[in-house]
Amino acid sequence: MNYYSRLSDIVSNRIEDLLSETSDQAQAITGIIDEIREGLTGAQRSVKAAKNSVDRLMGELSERQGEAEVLNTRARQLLQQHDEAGARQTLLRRRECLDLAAGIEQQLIAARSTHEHLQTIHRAVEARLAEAVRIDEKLRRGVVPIPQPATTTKMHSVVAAPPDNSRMKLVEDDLLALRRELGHA
Amino acid sequence: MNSPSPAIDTALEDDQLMVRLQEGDRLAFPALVKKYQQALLNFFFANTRDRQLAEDLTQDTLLKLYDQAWDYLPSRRFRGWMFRVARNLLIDSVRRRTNDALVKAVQGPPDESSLLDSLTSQSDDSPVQNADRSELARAVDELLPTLPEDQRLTFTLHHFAGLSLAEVAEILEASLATTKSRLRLAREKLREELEARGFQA
Repeated sequence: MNYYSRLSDIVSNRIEDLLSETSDQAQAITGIIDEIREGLTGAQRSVKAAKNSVDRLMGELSERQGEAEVLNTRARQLLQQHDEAGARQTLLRRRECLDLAAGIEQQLIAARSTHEHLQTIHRAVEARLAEAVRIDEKLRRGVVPIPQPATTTKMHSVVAAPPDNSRMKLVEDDLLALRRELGHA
Repeated sequence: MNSPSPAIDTALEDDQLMVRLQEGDRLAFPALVKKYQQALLNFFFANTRDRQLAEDLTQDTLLKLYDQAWDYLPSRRFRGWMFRVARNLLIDSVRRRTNDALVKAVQGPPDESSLLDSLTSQSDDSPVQNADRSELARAVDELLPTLPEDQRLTFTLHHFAGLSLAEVAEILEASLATTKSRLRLAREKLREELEARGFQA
């Protein structure tokens, strides 16, 4: 059985709601976890492709900007040699280079935005997987998950995958902010 | 040992193409376009009766497929996913147009060439058979807009886009039983109307 049609469904559909529609919750959560894991693999693929696209565009942009810089130097040299026509021609090429770079820059903005969006989705799917694993734990202990607002869900020590360093840094920052708020700093 | 059915083969191939697209392999996209462009065109034309609009909607669907490739979960249900995108675009388009596309289509120029002709004609048939088929196709073409939307979409997705009833059910977010019932009602209504026009059941 498929619980999700799209990757974004994993983010938007509450696991408790999916479980409430099934008679065998233990079996369902296993299927849900499998599907989320597959979704996570897909999200990783897309993030990687988006990152490659950003890198490719950055490389091309840097190449064009470097080329423009070389042409500028060349134009300066030509001018020093009193070759104004040659300098003008070179500056025209430099201008073309910069125009191209400006176009690539626009594409780069879009590619970065896509990359960020996909990273957000990826993290959300990771979080959903962690949640699913916690629910699975509960079910194994014989606790039936009761549908409740996500904000009241308590944190458990069981997580699907260890958070990376950047995530842990954010968590530490959050913790520090909370300590300050509570006067524990 | 039984070999996998063609439907499973094609579903697997679609998933592989989508995975390649998600990995950033742009060459996977033309392969999907080649595979599904005609089915999409048939679906849109059957529902709008407007060739240009059908082409535009086909393009929009394929572009969306490219842009939203990341959202696809490779679960061998690519056609359902793609036609759901197509169906949503069709509904948006019909809503956007001041003159409902279907109403316009019914009143449209009678000489507009019908894709139904090409769908139903077979080159092996005699000229008389082809003419009969063509006439029948035109009649079905005229009657489609008179069907309720759910029935029409079910009928066209199944017969014009070549999707299985399970796939149609998924796209239209209905149960298989409801989908079967819609298809039966659409067929009954078409049969009734065709008989009234002198076609044999």
